[in-house]
Amino acid sequence: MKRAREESSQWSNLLRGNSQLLVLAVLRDGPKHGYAIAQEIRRRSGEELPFRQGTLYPLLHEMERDGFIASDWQITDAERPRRVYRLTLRGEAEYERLLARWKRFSVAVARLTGIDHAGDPSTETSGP
Amino acid sequence: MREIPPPKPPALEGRLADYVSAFRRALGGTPSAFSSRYECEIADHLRLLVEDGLARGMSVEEAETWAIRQVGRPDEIASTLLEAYYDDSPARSLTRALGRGVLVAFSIAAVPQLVSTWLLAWKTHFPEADLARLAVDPTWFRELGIASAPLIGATPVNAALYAIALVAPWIVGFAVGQRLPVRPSRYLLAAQTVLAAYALAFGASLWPTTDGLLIALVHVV
Repeated sequence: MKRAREESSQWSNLLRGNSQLLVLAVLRDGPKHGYAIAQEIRRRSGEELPFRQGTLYPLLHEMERDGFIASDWQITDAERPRRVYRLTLRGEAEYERLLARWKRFSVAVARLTGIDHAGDPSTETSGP
Repeated sequence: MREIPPPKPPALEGRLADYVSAFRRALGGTPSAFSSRYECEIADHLRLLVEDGLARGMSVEEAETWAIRQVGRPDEIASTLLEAYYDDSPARSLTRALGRGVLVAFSIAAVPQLVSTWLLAWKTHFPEADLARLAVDPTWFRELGIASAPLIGATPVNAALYAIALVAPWIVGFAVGQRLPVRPSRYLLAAQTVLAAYALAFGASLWPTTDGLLIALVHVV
């Protein structure tokens, strides 16, 4: 039980450190509201990244403050108000920067551990 | 979809309404563009989750429980949002850090100052006194307060210790204050109120001496 909690906590920390990259990646496909962003992250990660949905809004607030995304209210077909977020030019540049950083990190980990393709244990080699 | 100005937070019912109310309270309770916006977003998010839950075959109650669990505790979300909000500018951040620091430092500083001063004065002024006297003699309060003033700084060691006692809590207070949430907890405020009342009584007991007035002002303000 404790081990599972620790595992979950470590996983959350990994996710937290890269959450901006995930949001930017999802918004590159087009504007989305908060719920759709969370769902898309979950879906595209194969349910491996269970984004705690409450943490999404503080993150979006920070990203908007930093100019990586912009948002406005829109009315849906069901006449509901909904805040829709979109990527800015600055956000696009930030995405490229974060992606490059992640690639560098994952390549370094792969070299260190001898995994050909970081994140896929089935491709583990016998050693460096 | 078409663009519109910020809407009013939607009206919800049942547990979702309770959740959004708790979220609003945690954000400060006062309607503002900031709180309305996120109240609206969270409410919309919850509603979409409930719809999702219903589509998965859950009952309304199950879907609401599931939606609330997915989103997380309202006070945690509000706290993180406020942190992000107050971090918006360096000036705000500095003001917040100073505010917290003063608050905590005052609370920490007040206790050892009052207790040590009183104990020192009590020991010197009433070497033979027993605790029972404190409960029955109404003059002890005043005598003790007056007796404490000349003791501070009477010797270099006393002065040094007093200086440390004065400065150390402020340093600790600022360090702890940096880690506090935006709004101080109700317990901290309650402790402060008690300390302020205590200090007021202490100061008032010395009235009309200058020391009494000064101590009362410093501790209560």
